[in-house]
Amino acid sequence: MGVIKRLIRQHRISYYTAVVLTFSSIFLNLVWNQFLMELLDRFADAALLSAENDSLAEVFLRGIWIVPLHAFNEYVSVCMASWVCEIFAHDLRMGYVKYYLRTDIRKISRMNVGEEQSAMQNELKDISDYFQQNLFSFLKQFATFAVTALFLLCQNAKLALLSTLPAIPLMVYCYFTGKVIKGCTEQCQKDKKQINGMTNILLELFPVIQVYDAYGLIRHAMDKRIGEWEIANIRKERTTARLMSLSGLLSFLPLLLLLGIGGTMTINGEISIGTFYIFINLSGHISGFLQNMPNIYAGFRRFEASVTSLGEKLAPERV
Amino acid sequence: MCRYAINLNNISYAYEGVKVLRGLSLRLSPGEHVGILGDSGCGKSTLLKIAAGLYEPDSGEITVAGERLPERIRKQVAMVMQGNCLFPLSIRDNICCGHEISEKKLWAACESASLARWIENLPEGLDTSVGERGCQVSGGQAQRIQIARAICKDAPVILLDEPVSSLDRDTGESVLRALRKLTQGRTVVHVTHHPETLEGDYVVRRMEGGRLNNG
Amino acid sequence: MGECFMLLKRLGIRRKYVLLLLLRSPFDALRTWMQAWLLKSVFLCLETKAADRLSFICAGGALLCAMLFLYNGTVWSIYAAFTARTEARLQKEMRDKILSLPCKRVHGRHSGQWLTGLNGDIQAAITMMNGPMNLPHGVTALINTILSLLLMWKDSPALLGVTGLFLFPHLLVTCRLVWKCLPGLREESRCAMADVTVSVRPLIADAEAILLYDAGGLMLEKCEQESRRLLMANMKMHMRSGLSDMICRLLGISGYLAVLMAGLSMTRRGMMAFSDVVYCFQVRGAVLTGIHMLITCVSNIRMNSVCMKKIKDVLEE
Repeated sequence: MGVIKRLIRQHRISYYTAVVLTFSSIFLNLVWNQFLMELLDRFADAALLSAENDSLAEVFLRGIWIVPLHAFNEYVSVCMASWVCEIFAHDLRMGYVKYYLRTDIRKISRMNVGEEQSAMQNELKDISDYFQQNLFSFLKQFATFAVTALFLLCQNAKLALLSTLPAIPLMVYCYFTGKVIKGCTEQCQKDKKQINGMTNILLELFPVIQVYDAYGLIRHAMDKRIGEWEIANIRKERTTARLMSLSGLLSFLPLLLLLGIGGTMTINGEISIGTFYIFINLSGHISGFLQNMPNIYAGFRRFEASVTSLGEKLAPERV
Repeated sequence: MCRYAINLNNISYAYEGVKVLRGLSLRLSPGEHVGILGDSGCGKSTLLKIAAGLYEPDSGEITVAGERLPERIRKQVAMVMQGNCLFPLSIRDNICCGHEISEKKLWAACESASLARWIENLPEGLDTSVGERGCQVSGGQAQRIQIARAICKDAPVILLDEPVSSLDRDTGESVLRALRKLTQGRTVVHVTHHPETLEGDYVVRRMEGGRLNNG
Repeated sequence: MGECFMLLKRLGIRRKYVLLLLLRSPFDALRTWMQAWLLKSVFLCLETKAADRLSFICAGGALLCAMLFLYNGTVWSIYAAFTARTEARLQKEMRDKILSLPCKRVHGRHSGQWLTGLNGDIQAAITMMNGPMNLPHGVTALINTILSLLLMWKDSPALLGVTGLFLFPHLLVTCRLVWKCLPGLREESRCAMADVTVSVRPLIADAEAILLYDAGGLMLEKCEQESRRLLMANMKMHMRSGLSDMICRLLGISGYLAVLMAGLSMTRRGMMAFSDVVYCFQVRGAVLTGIHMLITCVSNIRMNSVCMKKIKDVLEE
């Protein structure tokens, strides 16, 4: 991951500005939720107690500035994060160019232009896509998780813990589910590769097959391969459908617990109705992150492997 | 001062474990022209690349225009290659290769390479793009652009690697005429399959078994 | 989408596919209804301080949820197996068809192009039938949106009106400023990417000429130019996406606040309870999600339809 560190060092101003903007977006989201909580509390007072509550309008007017600010911050934050990712991707592309320019001519003359170009395209696309989709997204998800957890703990530690804990077994479940689905997918891809190989041969030898009417001979073998792949594919699709459905059901549990426990606490007057509503609004940030953690980790490992495999090619400071 | 423009002494070179050149020697005085004939894969192109300072031999000594280091040798050499070696840029960029060259010198090179009239008729003139792999220009024009590039470099040594082999007879003839202007008064090594392209004062040598014999 | 159904008709599985699609389609709508009902019931308990009822409601919610996901898991599993079988069948039929074509026709295209047809096009067709944000999600989103609109209409037409007041400008502005521009920008980015690849090619193919004529600087500069052009082309896309996010925040949150204030006014006049407002929030969320999902699905379906047509053309050749 040295390459990433170097990129961050080279563009530290842009990078840290994007980080600050990402954090400010999270912070503004919490301010918005705090505002909503206050508003709902006044609303509940006004609605349930039928009290003449002028303070509602006051709260409303006091907090309305958050809306345009939050929206504008979101725009600037997205643009800045994208700019940083694109600058990183540009540097990586130039790293590739410089790599070719400094590579020994004997080594270059042995390269297959098509293969090399396609590898470069794929590797750079994977990495720049990953940057775009993940670099600030992970940061945002992680920071949202951390800051929201802290925010909820400050609101009510007991409810925050009770509504978060069920997400931990869910995380373990998602980890194992990911492994099972990955196994099925790999088997499927292996079978598909064999089919592709046979199809390629079939197309290359097409005139021979036609002249000697040999299609029947190959067709049997081909059908067998497709049959094996079909079985593997059906198994993969079924397993995915069942496991993901169960995961969907399990992801409901934290919400149900929150509704039960939080509702009882609200009735008992331990928390306000606004706090309860904000818990419902925000608890998804925590359970969602925990649930997604195995995927995030797997994605990160893939990225790390791609970056490592590119090694010196992507060392931007070498030239 | 070295008395030879090119001096290859006892050069050996192996490619992926196969010996391509075995103790090859070649000496050319300034202004001398040599044509090298030989079968495909006998190492003719490798010899040119070594003489151009692109490849370093496994053993032996090279001196080109008094220079021994590959990066210095490369400055003394211009090369016209067999295939389409054009960059996907403009004609101007392909000839100047990013170096400062006056308009006068550039047009003179185009004139010598028989390109000037064609370029004048192009809507964008010298700034016309040649396309990917030179797909927007014909084979003959691509070779002429390479010749103009070599003229602009004004190097004392010219290396020609089958410059007309992929062209039809008429186009080949006109490219050869342009090549004559390029090679006048310079040291030339011309590698080819076709002896008929070695007109004039060429000394012909044949390459066999990684060595040069007298043609 | 017509291409998909015509191809399925040709394979003789259209009716079964439509049936499975319909069986899958109510899931999101049912989930929206269940979640909204659950929240409404919980908030009703809070309003009436009925702690005993709360646990029953949560248990009922868990039971409903289990039934819903059991139903979805079963139908999804049958549906997924069906599409996997269809994929294998398409593979076989396409291969048989290609091999029955005259030799001249087969060699008229590169083997890579036929392979793309066999892999890429079939994959795109199957993605359209079973992939995320494609036909199944599109139908699900459509039903979810319609049902959510009906639920909101039934509960509070006024709040539906307020939602619409913000939703229509939201969709209109996003459509004008973002969705309409994105295909063109995507194409620009694709072209810029292709130009980057073209500019890098000589570094490998013409490395000798670059070295000999000391053209490294020139090539570096040209590659940098092309790479920067790609950067700028991509940035144009990102800025539009950012704009979409900004509009979403601005009109989404404003709409939320407007529903809240309208809900308060109606609650104070005794026209509805606080739990009804919470219910409307939930349903409103489902309407917004449904519409966005539908738009994404239609765009993906359009893209994959091209591949579906290619398959159909080969099979009918």
